[in-house]
Amino acid sequence: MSCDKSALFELLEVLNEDLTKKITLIAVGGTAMTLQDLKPSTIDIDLTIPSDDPTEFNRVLKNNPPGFRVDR
Amino acid sequence: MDTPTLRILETISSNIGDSLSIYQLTDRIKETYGSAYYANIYQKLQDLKSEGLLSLESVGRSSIIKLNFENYLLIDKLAEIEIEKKIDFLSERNNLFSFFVEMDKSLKDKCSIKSISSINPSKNIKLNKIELLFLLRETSDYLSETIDLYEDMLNLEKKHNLKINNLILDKHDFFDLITSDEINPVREALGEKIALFCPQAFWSEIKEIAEKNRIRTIKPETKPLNISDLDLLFNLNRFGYKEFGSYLAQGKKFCIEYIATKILLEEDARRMEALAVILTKNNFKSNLMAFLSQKYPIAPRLRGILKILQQLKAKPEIEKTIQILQTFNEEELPADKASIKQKLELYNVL
Repeated sequence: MSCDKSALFELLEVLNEDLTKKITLIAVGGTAMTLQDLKPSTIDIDLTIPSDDPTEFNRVLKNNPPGFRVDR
Repeated sequence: MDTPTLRILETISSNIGDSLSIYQLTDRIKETYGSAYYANIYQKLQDLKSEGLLSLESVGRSSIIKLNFENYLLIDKLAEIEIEKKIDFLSERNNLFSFFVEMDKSLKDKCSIKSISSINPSKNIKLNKIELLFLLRETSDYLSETIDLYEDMLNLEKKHNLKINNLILDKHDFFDLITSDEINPVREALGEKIALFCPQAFWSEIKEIAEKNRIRTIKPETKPLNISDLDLLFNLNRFGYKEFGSYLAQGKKFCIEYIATKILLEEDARRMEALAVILTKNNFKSNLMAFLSQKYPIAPRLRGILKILQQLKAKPEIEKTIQILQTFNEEELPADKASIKQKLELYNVL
């Protein structure tokens, strides 16, 4: 399933609601290009997460499993 | 239907089981729609009362609002609200038309289906998924009807690249879950759903239950990993597993399927053995367990544990759950038989 910019923001919006602290996510490759309007969509969502934040991100992702593939 | 009536009936019906006063109703409408005025709502409630759609019972200085299911037209009014919600939801999501057309086509001849509702569609669609609550008529072959539906939905999922999670319940399971005092996905679903297919049948079912028992909806949806340790220990103890040295206090009652999901998501080896103990000591609902296994990524691990339990202490719901999980086409994650056996012996299950 390809995921466009609005779908990416919608996914982040849902995950954001469940976060208990601010975390940093770095969009990589096609995901970054989609967010920058350099590409219409991406097939999977690639994110890099600084070492302090993976636990919180994984918890939120497990609690709200999306229908997209998220690689981190 | 005019907007104030729609908002009032929608808010009361999605909070069914809660005894709302006019003030509380005003607050809930304000929360959902952004604005609400007590005086206007009071006036509209009087009109709806005189139409016989609801009743206002005086309790102390408050008036408690209740739907009047004795009014024959109430079911149709509630069905009309569902259709309005469906149109409202789909008018902004034209890309889902082809999915729903095909779903209607593939399910229209299935006599066992009474109604289909979409659970929390606005949120789920943002995650590229849809959760469907299928209510089935009484059927002698609940399991094969369930498996058939899972297979149909899996084909649709592949074709439309949309994750579909299915909660398939017959009359008895639906009744048990909706009237239960435990927190479970069905009680949570009622507050945030759209009855997509046969809304009248859905509300007739609710009417029938409301006449016999108290329906208890709850908000918001439980996120299994957010269940606190206190609640987890309280529920494990309730289901017959006590952790030595842990402080035990009164917690919220969660259904066993939610507790199992929490344990499977956490992947803590010791708690996995606790899961084996509680699943053997207690009854659980295969279709609810399957729904949560599809919704959260726990099916492979659960299947591994259930396979061992089926060898050590066979139970019909274990066998049924294994059969449903097999339709997901996910590889099983083997569990440690010796360690599970030892734990079951320690907790007097074997």
